[in-house]
Amino acid sequence: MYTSIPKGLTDLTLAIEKGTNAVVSNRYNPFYYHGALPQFYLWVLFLSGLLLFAYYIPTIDNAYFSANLVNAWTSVDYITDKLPMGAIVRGVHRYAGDAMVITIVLHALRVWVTDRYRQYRWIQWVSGIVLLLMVLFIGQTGYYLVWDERSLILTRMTVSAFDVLPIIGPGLKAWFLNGSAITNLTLSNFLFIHIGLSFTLLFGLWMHYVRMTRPIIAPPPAINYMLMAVLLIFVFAFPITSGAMADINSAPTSFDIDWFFLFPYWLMAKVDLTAYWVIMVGAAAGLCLVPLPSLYKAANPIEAAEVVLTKCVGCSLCANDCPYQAIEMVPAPAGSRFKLLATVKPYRCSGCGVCVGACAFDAIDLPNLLDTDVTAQIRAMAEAQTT
Amino acid sequence: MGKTIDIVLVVVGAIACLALTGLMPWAELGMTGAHDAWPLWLRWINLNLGVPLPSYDPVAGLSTGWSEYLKKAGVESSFGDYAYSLVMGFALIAAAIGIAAIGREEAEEKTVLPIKK
Repeated sequence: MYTSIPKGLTDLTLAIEKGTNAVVSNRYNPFYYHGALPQFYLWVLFLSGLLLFAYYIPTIDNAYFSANLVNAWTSVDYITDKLPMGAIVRGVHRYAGDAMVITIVLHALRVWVTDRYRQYRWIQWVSGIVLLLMVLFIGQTGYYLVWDERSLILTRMTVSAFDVLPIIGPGLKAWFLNGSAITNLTLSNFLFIHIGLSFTLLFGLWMHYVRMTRPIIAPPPAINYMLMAVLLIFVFAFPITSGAMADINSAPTSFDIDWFFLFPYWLMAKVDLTAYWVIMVGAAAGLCLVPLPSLYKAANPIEAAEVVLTKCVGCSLCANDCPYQAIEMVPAPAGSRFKLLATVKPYRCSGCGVCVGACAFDAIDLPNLLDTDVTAQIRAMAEAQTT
Repeated sequence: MGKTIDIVLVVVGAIACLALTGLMPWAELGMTGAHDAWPLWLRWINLNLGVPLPSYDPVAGLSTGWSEYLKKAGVESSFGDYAYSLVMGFALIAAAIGIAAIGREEAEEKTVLPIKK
């Protein structure tokens, strides 16, 4: 039953991809750049965020000795209503965040239905889930920064959620508020978290790519244009506006929800806070554990590929083709006719045999599946078919 | 047949992209083509050198409709910026269609079978 669902989804995905290929060709098929799409939006977020950062003032009281109030909300208002193209940059920043969540989820779904999440790809899967959680939290901190009534409600709800956590709760609350209550320092902290965690995403992306030989990290220009066009049209069709300025002496109770980022708050309002944490932590852990069953491989132990030192000519074909960066070219020992020698990192090798096929000199083999044995098996099968 | 469609798409994409790009100054000027809305240096060129400024009379009707829509959506000012965003979005789509049509021909899938010596 379980296996039939991914199989059906795989067939459906491949059929859609084939149909898309027929229209736009494989070169411009967005399905082939599904991992690069969120990354495109990440660069858009970095650039638009940099522009917003130049005008944003992270305080709740007056930031300057001014007759008029100058704080986070008024600075966002200034960006939106007075700064040339400020509203567009703000809208692009907001919708790029939403688009990033959508493309990450689509990326994860495609990876899942095409069975590319398990065994030696478990690091990519788990790091991807962690990156998604980070993106969601960064997006939520973006909502706090506007400092309208919704920001105030979200901040208070987050503090209430931290309050129920045993042992780490008080520390998290103090870290989140940058003190014991909402002050100017709280907004500074939100900005620090928002920007700091965004840059931490780059480290997470390194983890995500570390075992991939040729990750596609940039779609072709035509797809980039379409991705950007979607944002710009949404900015016009659904303009971004702020709510009323937050007043910490008031107690607003309702807000418009953005389902891409704020669904945890919807859940928080529906269930007991302890149940909320159980559901959220359970869901995150459950997603991380999706590849776990495939890691149990005692029944079919995998032996790493081995280089035949006397045959290796140091051509690097195997290292170039290895999908897991498990082959490293090292300087050949003194006296060798060649400059380089292939070496296998056993902890990265999946025993897939791609290197065996890549080598033109029979210089690399799988110990439990020798090239000569495979050839003999193919010959035997061919002869069996002809007789 | 396929090549003909590609050529048509390239031409349509290019013309649409150029036409929409031509609307960008109109949007940036606040959805008006009025003489006074243009930057001073362009007006000077227009008056002293006789270089004509483009006329946006055919799209004047869009300004009212788009502004009304944006007001209803809660926008208070900078309507022209939003129009610029929309026009640029459509121009990018037209450019993408043209570029994809050009590149589609070179995108034939090539399968190379490795042969072991």
